[in-house]
Amino acid sequence: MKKRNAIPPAMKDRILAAAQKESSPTRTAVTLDKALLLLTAGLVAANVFLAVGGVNLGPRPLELVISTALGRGTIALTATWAACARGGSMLGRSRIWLTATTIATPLAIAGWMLLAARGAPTGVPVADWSCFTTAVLLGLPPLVAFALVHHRSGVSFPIATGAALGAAAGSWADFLMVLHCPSPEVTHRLIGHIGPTVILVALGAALGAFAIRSQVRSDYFRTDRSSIPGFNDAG
Amino acid sequence: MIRKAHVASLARPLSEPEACTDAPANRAMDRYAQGDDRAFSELYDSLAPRLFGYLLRQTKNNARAEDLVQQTFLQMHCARGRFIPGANVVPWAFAIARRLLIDNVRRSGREVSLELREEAGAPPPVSTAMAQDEVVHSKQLALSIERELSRLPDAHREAFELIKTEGLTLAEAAQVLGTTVAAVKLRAHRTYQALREALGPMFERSSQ
Repeated sequence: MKKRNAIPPAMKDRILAAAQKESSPTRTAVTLDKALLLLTAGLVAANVFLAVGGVNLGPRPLELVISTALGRGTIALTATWAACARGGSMLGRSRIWLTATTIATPLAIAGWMLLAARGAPTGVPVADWSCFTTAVLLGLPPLVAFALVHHRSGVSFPIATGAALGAAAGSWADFLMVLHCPSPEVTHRLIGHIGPTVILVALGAALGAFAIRSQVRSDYFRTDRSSIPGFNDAG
Repeated sequence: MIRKAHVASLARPLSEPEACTDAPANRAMDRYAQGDDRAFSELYDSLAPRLFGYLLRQTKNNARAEDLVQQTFLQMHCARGRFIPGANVVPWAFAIARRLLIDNVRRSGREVSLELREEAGAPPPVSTAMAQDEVVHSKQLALSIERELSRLPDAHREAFELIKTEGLTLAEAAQVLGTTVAAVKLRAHRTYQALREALGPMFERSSQ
């Protein structure tokens, strides 16, 4: 008599046959794809940066720009690591970690900005909306790339992950804005340089809900189950 | 469905998670991610019984459980390239299985009813070497636990089952359920307390 809870012996063969029919990329291929994606995003962002005028020192001394860029670059790298690395788990970081990343990133940028603003010389006034738009445009390519890297990754908290990725993308936009905008005015920097991070965080959260979330249902219907021998349609 | 050892483990108070060796499954998944197709068979051998047991307990339906196990493995196969070196495959597999299960229930629009659970509460396979009264007690306790568990909130029952039945650690169960370790511990503890209150002496006797 067949036990109620026994695994059917044929199931293993069915699964192995189904896996053979459906090709899946190995880790090397996936890593290469990710690297290409991030490189493309970097090139797109660099093109946008050059299109809006590239590096503009203005009246700022070179040392100040370099030290500020190094500091903001470190923040951007740290934010990217905190948002993108999954902490050795396929299900991603905890919600607390991701929320902390989302909040701490703009705060760290603001803190560094206020520290650096003390010794900065007076510069040319720049329109807030211009820098705001530029920063959003600069942040979009990395955000899209980060989201694609995490596309349907099945992390436990896709919205929080997306928001953290938005903060990381915002920090890269801010890094480029440091090189581009010579205005030392704190209000302008808060609105034009850090403000876009809020937009990118919101966009990231939206991407998390739609692109990063595991779409099991779609997969279920996409798989051609009729071609799999013995694949039953119970339920 | 519920063996005597399993019943006893359910009746044991919550403590530190039991040591669970997922190393063979992790190694197999790692090799499979690198492109060693033969490792998929090993991965199946390591994970399929646990996944099938979990899904069968949740669905009370052999065919649905089989179907969900197959889908879980196919999802793992499709996502093998994303497997992080050194990551634990078990919580990931359970998380996929759980998502598929939730989707399956939503899509079919059918909830697992209490009646279905009671109907499915077939006598557990028990060792013939067991004393007759132990057999009777084990059967009664298994049925009672099943019944009481089905009355508890899904979130509490699921946390309890993942830890006590599937052998996941608190951290792994928290990952699968998408919540914190503290929340899982609380849910499992409340389930344990509820079982103890509902079953009383029968539960206490089994835990000794």
